[in-house]
Amino acid sequence: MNDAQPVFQQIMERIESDVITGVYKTDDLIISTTQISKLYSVNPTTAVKAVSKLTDAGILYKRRGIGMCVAEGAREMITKRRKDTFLNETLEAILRETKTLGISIPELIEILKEKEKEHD
Amino acid sequence: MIDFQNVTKSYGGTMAIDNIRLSISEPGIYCLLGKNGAGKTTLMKLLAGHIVATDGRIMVEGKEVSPGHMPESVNFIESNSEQFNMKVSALIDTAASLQDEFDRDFALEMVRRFDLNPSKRYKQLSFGMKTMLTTILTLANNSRVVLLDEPVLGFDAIMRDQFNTLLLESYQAHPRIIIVSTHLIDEIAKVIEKLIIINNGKILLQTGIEDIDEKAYTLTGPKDAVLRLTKNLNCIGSTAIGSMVAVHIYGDRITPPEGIAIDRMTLQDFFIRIVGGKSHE
Repeated sequence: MNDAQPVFQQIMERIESDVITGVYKTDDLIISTTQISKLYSVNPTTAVKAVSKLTDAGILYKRRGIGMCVAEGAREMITKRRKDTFLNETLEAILRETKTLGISIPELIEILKEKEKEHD
Repeated sequence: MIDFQNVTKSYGGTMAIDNIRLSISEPGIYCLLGKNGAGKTTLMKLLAGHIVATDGRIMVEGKEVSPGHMPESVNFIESNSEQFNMKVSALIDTAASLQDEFDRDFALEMVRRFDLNPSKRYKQLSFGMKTMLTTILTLANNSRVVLLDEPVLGFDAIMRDQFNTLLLESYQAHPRIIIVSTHLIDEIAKVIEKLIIINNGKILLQTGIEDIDEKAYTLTGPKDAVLRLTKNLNCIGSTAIGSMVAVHIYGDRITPPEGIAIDRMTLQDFFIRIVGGKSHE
């Protein structure tokens, strides 16, 4: 857990990450709030809050007597929102940092291309 | 379920509890926080009917509490009850025979998990072990209200961790009103649901623990920028170091501009700020 964000938000993000990376697929059962609180050593109330916020957002839905499952279209929803965040906030931050460090945009593009090669 | 109606308790000229109004109706693990002498133990004694209020009324399930009418649904054992001079196992058997709601199996499970010697007499136990026995006898009771006053006093870190697990298990098996007072704030923060902060005999705050996770935070950065940003926020304290300042906020979260850092406050930090309430320059 980091110190900046509220814990419930960090748990929401971890569950969301598991959805976009395919750990959980549509209609898959996610871990219970009791398991979440044990796994991350957080207050059960916080785990409940994270799951209920994801339910309100349409990412999860409740299957009676079974638990919480991944909703249809959850992955697309999360991906879209994260993309927006990346294109706006993250890129803004990168731009500011490159300016501070004196890295030019063409230089940055070259570095990114090099890095991409390393990944492949 | 529990209702303190303008309750005052004074000892001589000292106000231990000062005109308190407090209602608790939902089951949950409630944490009672306060400095030494804030009135935590007095509040518990009043609720259990061990002492009589100077003024006001305490109602439990619609009936007024007094030493002549101790509520059966409230289970509270004061610490250092020297009258208990029996063997640990005999004390558990006695509790089980006297109290219908006492869960003997759970008590024995706690004895095992805390590694408490059942054949030792109460007076032979170390300080931490005495606390442990009081805690076991209180928590193993499934009465509708359980009061734990400093249940981990003298416990080592491993025992405290074990206690938190047992507290949660006990609550999940039998949801009821459990009120816990402790000074090991960040440890208990992992299991409690609700928070009651008492200061100078008054209730300072009653809220859900998730409220602290979201609303208690610190903004750190250059003095001018931070002070401008926090002008209209609910500041509960600040620390200035040279040209930098850290301002502690209790209120809705904001997204600070570049150059100002935001950090979550732990429950202990929050408690210190809200009770101490002083700025350190």
